Amino acid sequence: MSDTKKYLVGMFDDDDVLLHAVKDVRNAGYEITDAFTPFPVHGLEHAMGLEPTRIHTAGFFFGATGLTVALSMITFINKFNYPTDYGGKPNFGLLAYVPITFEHTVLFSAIGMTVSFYYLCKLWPGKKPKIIDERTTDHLFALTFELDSTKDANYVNAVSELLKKEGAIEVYQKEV
Amino acid sequence: MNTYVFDSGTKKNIFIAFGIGVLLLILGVLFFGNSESHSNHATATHGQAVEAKAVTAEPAAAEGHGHAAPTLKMTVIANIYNIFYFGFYIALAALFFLAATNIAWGGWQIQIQKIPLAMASTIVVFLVCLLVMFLFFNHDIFHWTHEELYIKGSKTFDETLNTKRDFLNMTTFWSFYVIIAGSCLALTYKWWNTLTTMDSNPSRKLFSTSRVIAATTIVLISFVINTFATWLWSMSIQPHWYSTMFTWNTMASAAVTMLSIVILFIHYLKGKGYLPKVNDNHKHDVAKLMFAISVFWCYTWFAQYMLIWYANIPEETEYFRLRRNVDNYGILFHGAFFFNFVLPFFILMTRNSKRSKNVTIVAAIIIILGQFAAFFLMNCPALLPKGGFGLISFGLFLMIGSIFVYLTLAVLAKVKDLASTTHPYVNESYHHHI
Repeated sequence: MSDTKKYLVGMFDDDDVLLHAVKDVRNAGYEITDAFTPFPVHGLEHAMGLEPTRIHTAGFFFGATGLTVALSMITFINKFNYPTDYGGKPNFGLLAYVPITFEHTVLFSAIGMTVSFYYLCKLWPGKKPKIIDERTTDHLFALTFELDSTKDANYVNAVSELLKKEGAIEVYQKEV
Repeated sequence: MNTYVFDSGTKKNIFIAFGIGVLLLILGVLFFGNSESHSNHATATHGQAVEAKAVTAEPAAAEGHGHAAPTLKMTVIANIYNIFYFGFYIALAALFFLAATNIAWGGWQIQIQKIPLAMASTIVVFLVCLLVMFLFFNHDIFHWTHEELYIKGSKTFDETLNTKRDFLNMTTFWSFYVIIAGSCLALTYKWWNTLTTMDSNPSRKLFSTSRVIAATTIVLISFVINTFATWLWSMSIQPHWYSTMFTWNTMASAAVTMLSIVILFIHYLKGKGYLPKVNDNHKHDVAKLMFAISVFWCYTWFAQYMLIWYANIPEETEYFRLRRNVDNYGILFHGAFFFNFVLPFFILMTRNSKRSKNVTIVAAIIIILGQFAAFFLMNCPALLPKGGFGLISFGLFLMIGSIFVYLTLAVLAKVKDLASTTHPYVNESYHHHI
């Protein structure tokens, strides 16, 4: 199929070994496509040189949206659309709006961040997962290198040698 | 460099701060005399307002004292009392920090835990200062201590206070002073003893002991010290009013101030070359707690306000009538909200700002000033209904604040092992990474 890609995969059985391997491979000048681990490895995102996530910025703006929606909606209802007298309190009682506004802010930022997280990870309903190696969901760690047309046999050999030297228990090529 | 040396340069700076405080106090006293002569007229009309209020049976604690306008004596007493109470609470919050981090198996704070320990030791001084205030100025601070309020049939009889007399009486007051002071001293001594012994002679048994002390500290602070100290020493200044959020709010105020002072001390000690292995990650954690407790403070502060606003019961709204109106404390009241919530919330929001030295110092100073105002608003408006936050407050704040810093650093200099290098969890602190 046309949308499959070819990968060089190095399997590791220890997270410390993986962490050192990532550092050394990157120092040697090879670009790692991705790493797959059965659990979050502390410091791996720094070692991989990934950009820090911007999802909390998105969360701030989702929250601001929630705040605006709650305030404008409740003001519209209480002040203009259906003003009711509750114990002589003002119709535009900003203090009474605070709890609902707070809830809306939290709700919007939580749902917004969840949805954007799913979108960024490409996890939408009906998505068919591409799993490099099933063992990465259980006990092994994988480093993958995408093999496009620019990567020749020399590259594959060099990276395989390096991975084996770093303690990879298995190195193979796979098309998914 | 593992033992702090209290050098003369620092001492000189503290003395200068103390001197500025004295200067501000003197200026405040001089300025106070001037402004009072102008407000004689206002005093007279205010006296009539008190009469009118007595008819409508609106309780106003301070006005019941017969002080129509704040006198110089009252202003100074209220401010001093407020700052002693503030200092007591900061020391108590430091004790709570030690206990809470220890009971949660915390590892990151091990290197900096001698700072809250030294701060907690100053509780001795503040307890003595409060005792002096209670002994000599009891009738000035606490309206409910006047005997004539409880004579049935007399003009001054106060029915509300009479029903509260089972709790609000001198026996309860002094019993709880003894209990609170006793448990504070015992806990401080125990913490000091355990943590300093652990420096010279570490053992697993001592570590288990410290966890038992931590559990005891949390229970005592939650159910005895914090609760009854706020009720008897702060809330009873305005004895007709009560709120269940008040104790929370006080502790949140104290805790966020304590953390701000801790981060200032960390920056100071790092600047002097101590605490070599404390890095951005530890400061990040302290700043996170500052951010979190600022939000928590605002939550309790707002909840207290909104419940009273919504219920609209006169004896409860009286509390905020004294504080929120623009002619007395309105600016301070809303300013405290901005200083304690809005500014820290936006300043400390991002990861980078929590890790930056300058930003956390600015946030800490903002929070300390804001919480000083918050404590003033808890204790003083009932005593000074016409306003009294000014040069005198800041002068006394600087004076007692510099004494507090001096004492803390002097105690810190007595600690042999500043970074707790023999604590069983210190490795976790070295490798703390977030």
